[in-house]
Amino acid sequence: MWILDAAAERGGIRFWGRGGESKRVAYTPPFLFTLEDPHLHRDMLDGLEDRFGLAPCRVRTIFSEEEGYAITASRKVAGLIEEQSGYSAKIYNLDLRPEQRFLAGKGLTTCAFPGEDRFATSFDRSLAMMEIGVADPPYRSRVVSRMAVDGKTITGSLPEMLQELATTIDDRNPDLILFPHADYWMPLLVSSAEELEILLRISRTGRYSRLSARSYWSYGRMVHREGALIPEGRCLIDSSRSFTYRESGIAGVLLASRMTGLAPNLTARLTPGTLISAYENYEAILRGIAVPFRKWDPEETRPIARLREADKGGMIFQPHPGVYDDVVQVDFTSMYPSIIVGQNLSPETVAGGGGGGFLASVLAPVLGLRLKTKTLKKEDGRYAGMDSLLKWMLVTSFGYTGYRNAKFGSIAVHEAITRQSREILIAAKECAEECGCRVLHGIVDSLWVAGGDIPRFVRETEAATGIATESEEYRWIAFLPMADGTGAYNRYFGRLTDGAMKIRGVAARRGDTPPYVRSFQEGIFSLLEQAECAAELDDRAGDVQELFSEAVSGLSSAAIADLVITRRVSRTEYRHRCIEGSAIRAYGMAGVAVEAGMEIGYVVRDGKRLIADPPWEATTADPAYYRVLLERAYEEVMPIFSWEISPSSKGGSS
Amino acid sequence: MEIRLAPYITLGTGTFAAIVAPEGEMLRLFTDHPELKRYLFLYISGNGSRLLTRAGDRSATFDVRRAFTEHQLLTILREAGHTIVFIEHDPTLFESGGRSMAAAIGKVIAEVSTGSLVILYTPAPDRFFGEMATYADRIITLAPETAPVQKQSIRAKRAGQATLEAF
Repeated sequence: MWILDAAAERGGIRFWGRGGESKRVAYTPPFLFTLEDPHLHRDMLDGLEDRFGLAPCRVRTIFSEEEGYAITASRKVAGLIEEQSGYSAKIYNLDLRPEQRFLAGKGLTTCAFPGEDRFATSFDRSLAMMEIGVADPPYRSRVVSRMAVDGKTITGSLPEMLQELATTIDDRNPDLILFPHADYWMPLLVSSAEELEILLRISRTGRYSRLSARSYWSYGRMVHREGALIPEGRCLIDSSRSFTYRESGIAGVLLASRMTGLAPNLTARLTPGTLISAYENYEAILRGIAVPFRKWDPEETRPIARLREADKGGMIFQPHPGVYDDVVQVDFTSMYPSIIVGQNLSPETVAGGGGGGFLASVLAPVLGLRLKTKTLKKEDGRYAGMDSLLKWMLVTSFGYTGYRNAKFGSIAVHEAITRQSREILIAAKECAEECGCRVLHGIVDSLWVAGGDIPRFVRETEAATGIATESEEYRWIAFLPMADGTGAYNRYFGRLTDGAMKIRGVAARRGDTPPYVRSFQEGIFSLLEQAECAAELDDRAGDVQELFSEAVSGLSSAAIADLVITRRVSRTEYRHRCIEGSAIRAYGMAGVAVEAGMEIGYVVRDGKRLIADPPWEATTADPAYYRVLLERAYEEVMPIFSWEISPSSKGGSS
Repeated sequence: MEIRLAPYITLGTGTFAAIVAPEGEMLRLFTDHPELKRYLFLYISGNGSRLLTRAGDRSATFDVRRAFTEHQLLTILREAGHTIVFIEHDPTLFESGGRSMAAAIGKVIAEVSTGSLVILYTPAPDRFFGEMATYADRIITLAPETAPVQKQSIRAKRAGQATLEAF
């Protein structure tokens, strides 16, 4: 059976295939535990034996193999074992999804036939699909006035629309439903259908599992996850909110499912970090390695001086602000995962263990597949989704090594990776200089070089590091200054040899820039795009000035929708008055509850008095406030017109 | 081994001291006691440290071990063999385990302190700190030192205030 979905039932698991085919297997997996000194806990062990049955077993971890016990009992019992042993018991395989354990234990996976290679570049992904939509705006409306199914509008009363939707689903029997803002609308649709006694089978069994809403910190920012109703037997993707779907499409969701052994219903909702964690868990079960429930192993004891030396992160060569001609950007492909695999980095190998490291060995096939999809997507756009998923999983595989609850992570691995990356970048810089190149900028896994024998530099660097690189050639590139006048690490723009502009870190790229300001700055870049070399940029100064004047004078007639500022709020209460706080209050007054981590849009009505309105209520905007935003976007680009011209480039301080 | 934390407060081997103090006061433990370098000193921090960068200047020689989870803290404590063990309390470690875990850690700290001086420090106590401090031999609260108030300046301030109010 090609497994589309799975759900744990009492004493077993039900699997669903395409078209609604289903099969139940009896499965009650035990969890494992070890005790430092079992004799000290004889009474507890006897009690567990009498009550649940206790099977002595060998527990294999990535570090060692030791005597332990297998017990089929609840999570509560696991907690009691921990507490009664004075937190000396180490528990394994407790918080894994049973269907993942079952599949990995049998060498099977989801979205695949038995025996299929999980890392194949092409696989059967034919699914009966359907798209559902509610035309009303989510979050500020609890009323459904119009719906759409596969582009066909459904109107009428709510019972009529639900009945039509139910009939269409029954007739078409889709395997996968795409539904923008499904997580918001589903509870309303399902409860309304129940009240109206309409059999709405978005779930093939009529049952749903619930995912609770929560706000959490991720990579330094607060993120909000909407609660969700997850159907059984069918895959439902919230196409507006699913990161995996947005970044990698259905191909990515299904590939994530194949790699992790989790149903696409889940992989569409999980973050790349959770996906890489689930993938590592799957691989551990497949290899007979116990997955620790708690993170017990701390970093080694070390003198403070060594901690200072180790804790440095990625390498940066700060650029001199200026515009440079004929520059090549050389990027190492998946540098951090390549280091993990190439250097055999894993918690047990960093701790001094020999052999193939677990982390390195499980990431190797993912890296191998990424290198294939990266090549394939250049020829066939259908591989772009898979490539994007693998890119995200590999990016997070590095960060995840430093995550405190990572099952197979360790801060020592994290530090070893960044140490290696620094050494690689320094060696690459030296190699570039030996090849007569001038290194203009470098950050973590990229170098910007000009002049000299660049092909030789690339060839020798790839040979020395064993890591593939990709190059982009610029006709000219501008490295912008920071407030103190020194070069910014991540703000630059330039014209590539194919004529396209590459822009990073400026207003046009930032998510909170209102469309009007973004469009203005993009207009500037369209003008600069015409310059063939740095020397020609000055010719555009007058046009840019004119564009700015037009943008300022056009502010009063700008559409309100173009002035919406979109920001993710990290909190809902602010100690001091601010625009975000005012916007959150306005949302509250409009009956929309804002949670920390949510993205909200607002229009500033009065910048001085810090008053903002939700977009749907805004009728006026403060031109002075938006003029400041325009000025900032303008000033961000302006340094390129003031730098002195040198024969090959022009720069402020070089 | 004995160190004088403040006048009349001396801490020695075999003591588990739970200390609540402003960061500046605690930093003095490191700056005013160069003799600490003679002992095996282990600094245990959590996910983040408010003191480590300042306490661990270039001349510092102590050992460091960071606990990112409450279970790692337990392992570190069980493996600690230093003469002085300084624990910078991090309440974020206890988010999942809660008070029962804090109590278990408090017991282990008390066991470690039979052969060492263990200092559990926080600038702001919380319920987890309180749970662990239940097992402490001494609970010490150090108030920030304030400059002696001069009567003359008070009079001047009052006079100034009165003048303003008069007008």
